[in-house]
Amino acid sequence: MTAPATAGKVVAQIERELRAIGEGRADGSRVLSMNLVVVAESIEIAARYTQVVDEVATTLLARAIVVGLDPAAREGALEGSATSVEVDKATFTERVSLTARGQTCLRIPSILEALLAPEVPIVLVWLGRLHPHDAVFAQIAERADRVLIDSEFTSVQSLVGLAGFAKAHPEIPVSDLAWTRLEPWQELLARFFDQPEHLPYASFIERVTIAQACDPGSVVGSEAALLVGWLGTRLGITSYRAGGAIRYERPDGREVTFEVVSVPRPEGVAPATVAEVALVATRDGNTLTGSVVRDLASGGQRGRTTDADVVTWKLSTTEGVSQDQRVRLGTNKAAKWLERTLRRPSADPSLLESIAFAEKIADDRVSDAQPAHAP
Amino acid sequence: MSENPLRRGLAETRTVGPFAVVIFGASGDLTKRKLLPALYNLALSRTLPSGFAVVGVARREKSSEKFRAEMKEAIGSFSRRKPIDEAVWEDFERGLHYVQGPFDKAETYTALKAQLDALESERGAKNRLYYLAVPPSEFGHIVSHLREAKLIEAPGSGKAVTRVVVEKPFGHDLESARELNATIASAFDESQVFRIDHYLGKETVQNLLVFRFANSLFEPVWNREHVDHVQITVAEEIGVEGRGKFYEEIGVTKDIVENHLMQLFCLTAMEPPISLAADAVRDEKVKVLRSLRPMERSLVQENVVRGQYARGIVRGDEVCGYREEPDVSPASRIETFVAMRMFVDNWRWGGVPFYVRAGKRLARRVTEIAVQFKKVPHNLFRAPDGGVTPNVLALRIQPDEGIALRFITKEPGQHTILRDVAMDFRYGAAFGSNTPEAYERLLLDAMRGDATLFTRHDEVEEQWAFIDRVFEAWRAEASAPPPLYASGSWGPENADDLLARDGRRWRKP
Repeated sequence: MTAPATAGKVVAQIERELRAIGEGRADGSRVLSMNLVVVAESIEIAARYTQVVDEVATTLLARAIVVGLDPAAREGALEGSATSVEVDKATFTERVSLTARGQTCLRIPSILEALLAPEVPIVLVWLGRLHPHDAVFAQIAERADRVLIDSEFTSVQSLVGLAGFAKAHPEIPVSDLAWTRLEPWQELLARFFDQPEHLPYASFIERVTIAQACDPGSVVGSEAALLVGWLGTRLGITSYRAGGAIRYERPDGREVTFEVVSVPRPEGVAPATVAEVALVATRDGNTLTGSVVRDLASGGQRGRTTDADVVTWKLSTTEGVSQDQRVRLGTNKAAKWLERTLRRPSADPSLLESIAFAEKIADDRVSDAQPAHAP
Repeated sequence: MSENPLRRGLAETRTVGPFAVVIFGASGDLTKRKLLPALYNLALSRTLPSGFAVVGVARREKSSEKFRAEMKEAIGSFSRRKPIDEAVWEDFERGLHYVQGPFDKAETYTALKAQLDALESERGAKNRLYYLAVPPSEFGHIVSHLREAKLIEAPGSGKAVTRVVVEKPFGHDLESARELNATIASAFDESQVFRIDHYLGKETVQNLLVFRFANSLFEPVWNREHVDHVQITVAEEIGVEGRGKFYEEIGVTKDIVENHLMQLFCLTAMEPPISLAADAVRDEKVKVLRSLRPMERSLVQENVVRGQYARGIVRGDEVCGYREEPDVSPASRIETFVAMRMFVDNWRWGGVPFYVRAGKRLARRVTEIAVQFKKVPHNLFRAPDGGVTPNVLALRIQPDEGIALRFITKEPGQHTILRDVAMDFRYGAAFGSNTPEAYERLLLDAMRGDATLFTRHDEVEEQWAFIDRVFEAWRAEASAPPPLYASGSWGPENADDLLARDGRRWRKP
């Protein structure tokens, strides 16, 4: 039985592999635009995410470093390797895979330092619960030029942690993949008020209902919480607790009802997926009703198109307007969401504003009420 | 409240209102290959509003159902995203309609008005974008009938928005371009007119502005102090492809140089605009066009070369000469190749030649702008050819869109051996190849009212003013036909002489 290699020896071996990749591809060009460092809270998640990383690394030309952590292991150990990832016949990039166990997890920041490609920015994707004071997270994040999480797989508390990190390090932009997934929802909701004749209703919203696909009594998911936060901050709504219940007020002092309710989650749909958003606004005796209803699990053309579920957008007013449209939400591939997040402007103040608003409902559970239905 | 609060902070703050796009020439190839696939892709990416409609207008008799079926087939063939997404298509086709009739009859516009009124009440599609995908000879009828049928709202009327998109060719000389401008101006304000040059919708062409004005590295050397000369090439492998009749009336100078090539020249040579507002960019383009040294008749012979393709071999296949093409006169004098040496008489470019060329049936399909920098002032290194090759920055528009910088390095070893290498950035590799088509961007911009990527009336007139002088000189020449060049070559030999006289040579891109 051979003794496990020291971290330094593993790093040296990876460096040799990286050199060999370059020398073995004299016919091709190695192109890098970033270091994409993915750190997962388990070795299994890292393994699953490797395919996503490879896909993104080839479209964004990144040196990808995927790290799986097993901090609970008794023995400290490090394993790793480097492989080339083909972009096209003439271009390639590289992926380094690392597995750290036990105490070696604490050395990951130092190990990464040795393996980062110089002169290109570092993007950290943290897959797991985020504790801003976690030594491994803090050291890598402080070295990064940008930090990303995917709150869909953790909780609103991770978003709060991310916001805390952003506050302490305003020079390092932060993003959330769940926030990127909300982009089409935000766009569709904004459409309710795009026409000049509908714009005044935006100041008179009375009720917002968000349905998430989950079991009754589940905790409000990060996507729904972020949507509440986004709508609240855009509309100038304030919130306060009274007797344990949260209440919302419009700038004119009138109460607004925000509800997060549950709808059954079909098989194959991620937990706490946003399924429906409906709003009602009344002004001068007229009412505008808008809804965006997702046909859950309708992205059945998987593999044939890159797009996922169909949603129905509906707008009606008591003044006689009735419009509807069927559109598809964004892609259903994890790699596309990561790529899209990386392509978005890195600094997005509205994310942090929305998190601050959403924090107040971090531990709330979905209401038992029925979802609002399309007008 | 003056702005939509939910738009604040979103990636897309410019929205498209409810529009009916009316395509005149809906039976044509452009509608099938480009316009409808572009609109469908906009629907697919959730860019179109619910109150969106397309009305095709053409002479051929057909029902709206047939029009929808034809468009579905066309989208299935020509869309960049396949297969058709049935859910999105079902929604999209609800807004597709067809109006049959000749463009010069008032009844056609009565029927169109009825259709548009219905769409406004049913779908809220109150704004109108008229797309003239027809020959310029039809513009006059269409514009005057639209005006008489009260289908045009003046800008600032507070009612619906009306805009018109005009396809090239925009005239065949300065006089006809002015006439067309006057015809369109009789019904539309200039702010409503969008003259399309699809080259400007290409990502790589738009990247020219970003490359020049977002990188501090290049702009300081983008002038006569550092640039030796510039070459712009628009080369095609194909011949006239069955369009002999059309080509006999137009030739490569009017087909490519007057519009696409001149636009590439403008973006390369213009001064930084004060903003990216449409008129700020277009003002700079007009300024640089006005700085072009006029091609006086006496200068044409030494600065302009034309040619016509003869038989030859392209991509390994034997191909016929231009005069053997269907619908082409056996004695045709139409040019299928043109090369020019142009000078920009301004502070930045004084004395720097711009060599431009465009042609059909050349060795390979390529569109590029190559900026060749001056040689180093003193050569420290001995190279086998006695000199160090100058740096070249090549901006490749198509195919393999990208940017390549050629520079000199030392070969590893005991001796100082110089090696020419290229640092190559390829757009497709960096950003994926499924980027929006030019028409998607341009149609969206027209609906949003952003004219930055469209040509203004004075731009078109300046382009023609420059080109017209070349034609005047050619007309005055003896009736000798253009020199022939072998298909699959890089043009006639005297095109090489154009640069050789200056001690330079064409790139072989």
